[in-house]
Amino acid sequence: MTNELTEILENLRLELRRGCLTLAVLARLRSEQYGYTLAKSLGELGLAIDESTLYPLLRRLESQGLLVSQWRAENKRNKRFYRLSPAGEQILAQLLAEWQSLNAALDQIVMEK
Amino acid sequence: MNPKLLDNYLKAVKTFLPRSQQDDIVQELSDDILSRVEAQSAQLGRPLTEPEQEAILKQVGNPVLVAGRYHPNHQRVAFGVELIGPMLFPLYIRVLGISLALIVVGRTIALFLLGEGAATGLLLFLVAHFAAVTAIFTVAQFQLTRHPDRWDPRHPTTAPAAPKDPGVVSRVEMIVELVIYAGLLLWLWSLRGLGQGPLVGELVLSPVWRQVYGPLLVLTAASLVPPLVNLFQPRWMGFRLTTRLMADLAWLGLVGYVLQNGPWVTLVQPPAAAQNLAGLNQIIQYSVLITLAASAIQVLVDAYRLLRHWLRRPGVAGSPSQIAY
Repeated sequence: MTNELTEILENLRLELRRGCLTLAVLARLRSEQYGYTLAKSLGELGLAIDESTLYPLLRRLESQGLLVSQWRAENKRNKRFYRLSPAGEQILAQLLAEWQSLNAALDQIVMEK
Repeated sequence: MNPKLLDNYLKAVKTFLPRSQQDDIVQELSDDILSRVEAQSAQLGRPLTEPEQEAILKQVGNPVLVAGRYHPNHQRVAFGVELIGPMLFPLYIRVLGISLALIVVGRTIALFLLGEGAATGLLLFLVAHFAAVTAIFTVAQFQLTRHPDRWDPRHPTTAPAAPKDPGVVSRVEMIVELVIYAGLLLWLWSLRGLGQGPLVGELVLSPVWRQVYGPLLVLTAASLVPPLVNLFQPRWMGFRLTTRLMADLAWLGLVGYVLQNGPWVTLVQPPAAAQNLAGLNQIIQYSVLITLAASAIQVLVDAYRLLRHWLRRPGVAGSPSQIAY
């Protein structure tokens, strides 16, 4: 693959991942976590995300009212714990329905010859 | 983890963060870094060495880029191509705002003290200053885009840690010099009417200032040439050091001439307050004397640098390359 095509592929991959990551983060935060463990658990499930991308995403989702956070001491250090807000739960349910619909449509399109 | 290493990194990130969230984000980032250190330490079964800690900071990323991701508005400066990206834009606006405000305040004070003449060229000066700050940040953005990983976790607030070749002039330094001399030239040009009338009240500048004004203007204009040449010929280190020494000597001569030709302010009419005038002239004399001393030191430093450069050149007797082992 040429360098130009590689660059195009990389940009498209990033676009594809961007939407999936937001959904994955919202889904994982149905139970309370802090940033480091969240990144680690997503990585273990096959959706690696850099902490320097994750933290700004968490703040953005919180500023949109989809997450709530709380500072708590754990292992002698203050950690910021995140979880879904009631609004976040509603949005997640709708996004999951949208995702399943898109997935089904895409499966049909890809299978078509 | 080495507290100083972590602290320096967090301070560097904090500089570029949105003001309202700085402490919060830094605390979260600190916890994240310490968690990574603990996890790796547990995996290895021992505390991390300093290079391993630096590697973790490198993984976290360039402080400017890390902080830039927290900015909600992706504002930038672009004229067709992007000159200043969203990472540096907040700092650019801050620096521009503060510096322009200082210029306007300074000129307002000068206007109050010196009359209408002080306002001459203000708009041109503001435009030049805007261009200068934009140019400096454009260069910084260029470096950041081209080499995002070129930074040193031990000194995260300094410019990209490229290995410094003593035989090569830094292009960034040359651009900064060009901007400074261009600004200085514009400012001097704006003062061309000064000294033709009373300075303030009954005070007038002595003729010596008009005598040195022309040469000073020429010297400042001439000072634009070496950085411009070195911008295209960064390996002409000898040229840079030689022209710099020549400029230092010329400046030293001008300052010496001013010092020898006091008094530096006189009164329009014979003194009613001669005592105050003598005091003012003494202050000016000390100021010029200090400037002379600083200029002399600068001459010695640049002469030493030039000598060292010539001695380092291959083929020069006594240079390291000539020593047989």
